[in-house]
Amino acid sequence: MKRIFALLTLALLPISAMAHGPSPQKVEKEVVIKADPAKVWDLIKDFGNMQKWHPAVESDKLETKNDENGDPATYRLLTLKGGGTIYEKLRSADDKDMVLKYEIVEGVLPVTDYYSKISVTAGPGAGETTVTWMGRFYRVYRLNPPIPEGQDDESAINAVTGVYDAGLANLKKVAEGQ
Amino acid sequence: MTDMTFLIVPRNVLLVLLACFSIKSHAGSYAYITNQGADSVSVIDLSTNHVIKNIQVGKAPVGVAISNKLGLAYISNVDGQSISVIDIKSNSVIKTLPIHGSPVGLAVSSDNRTLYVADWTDDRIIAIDTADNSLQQEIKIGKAPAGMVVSPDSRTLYIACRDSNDVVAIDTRSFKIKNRIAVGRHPFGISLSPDGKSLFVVNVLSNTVTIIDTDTMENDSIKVGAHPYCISISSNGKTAYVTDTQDDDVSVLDLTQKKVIATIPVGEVPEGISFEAKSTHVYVTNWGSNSVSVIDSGSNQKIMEIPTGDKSRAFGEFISGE
Repeated sequence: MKRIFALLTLALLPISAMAHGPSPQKVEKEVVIKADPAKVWDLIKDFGNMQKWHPAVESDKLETKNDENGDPATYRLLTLKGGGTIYEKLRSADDKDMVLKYEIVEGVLPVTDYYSKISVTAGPGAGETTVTWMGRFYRVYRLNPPIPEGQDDESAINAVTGVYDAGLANLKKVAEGQ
Repeated sequence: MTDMTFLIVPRNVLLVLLACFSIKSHAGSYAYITNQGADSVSVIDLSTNHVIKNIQVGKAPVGVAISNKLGLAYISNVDGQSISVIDIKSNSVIKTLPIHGSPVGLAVSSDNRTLYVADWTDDRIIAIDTADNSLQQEIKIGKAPAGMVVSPDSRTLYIACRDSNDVVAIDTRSFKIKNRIAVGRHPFGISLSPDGKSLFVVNVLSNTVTIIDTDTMENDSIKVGAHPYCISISSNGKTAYVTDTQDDDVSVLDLTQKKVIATIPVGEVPEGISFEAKSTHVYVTNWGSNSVSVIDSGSNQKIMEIPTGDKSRAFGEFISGE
């Protein structure tokens, strides 16, 4: 928890998703929860209530408006406990496959062009649920080396890893009713 | 003596030998798949759909261009700031060309004389003489140049400029800009119809494909899936296949009706795509699941998934032997 707040406060300026570097990075994390998949999915798909399960989120404000292509879209503004905000766009919440997809429009994480998918599946054991959180994103610095500190691939990967590890650990606690 | 040796070879060994000769004799097709996370290229034999070799290249390989005539595959190592030159007979790296920038898109001219390199960060196109790997010339054309394709007559090079939202046509003899066409938001992958008359550009943020008439420059667009990346055209020019990176599927476009007629689930985050003429299979590279999906274009079904390496991309024309 302390590590994730430290990482989040490292980035002082909001980072837009416009230009990005050439190599996308990936973080994929998984947790097994002793709870019904439907119960876990209800928490994940509730786009306007991430504070219910993510320990770094202070509040979550939902917004509906047309996106840049003129299509109606859902957004959320996450205000973090450590300070700073992350503005995200919901891409889809599929009840049948239990998959949530979203992207970061701008925010304090040291990443650009961040896209994420959270998948909820039954198993491996009876009464268990597996949650997989995958993120695809680029580092902040888009030019050639030398890369400034805090804007490299490692900083981006560490920040996202911190968000996923803390989030999944607490999601397990919340869903298991502890 | 030779006959004697031949007679004592066990029958099963003989069959294997015969099988090897028959594969060789029809000059097979191979896919060269760049694995960004493994710094390698997986070579897939398309007659068996198996990986026959993994070749170590530079850091974070992405783009591929192949010259069958020269027997070479060019690989852009974007973080390694170099191009690996692979001999496609021995499947080994025979040369590494340093590039002071971020090489992403690659294309070889139809006459095999020139290799074009798109430098993502320095916004330029570099032309390299394939005879001696010397630098011919370079030109600044637009922001974040990505996908490139050369006309069948080698006279025009088309480039998708991701961050300036346009496509640039370059006269390859004067190396000057002929046309600049505004397209959708963040054009990335690009392809030409076999006759060179239609140019296809994939707009990542608009979720569309722009189709440009290369004579009149008139254009039209078709809506596809989420966050599309790359496109490949069937050899009869009637169908286009587009990777939808955030839908984990491929959109199949009927080019007569100008609409999506099927979507085919593939692996996660599909990027590179190529239609293979002989088998009429479509090969799709999955960055998210470290694999290549094989689609039967007759049934529009995924028939196979081939494990490759970490974060497979294969941006460009990645199939040899066509």
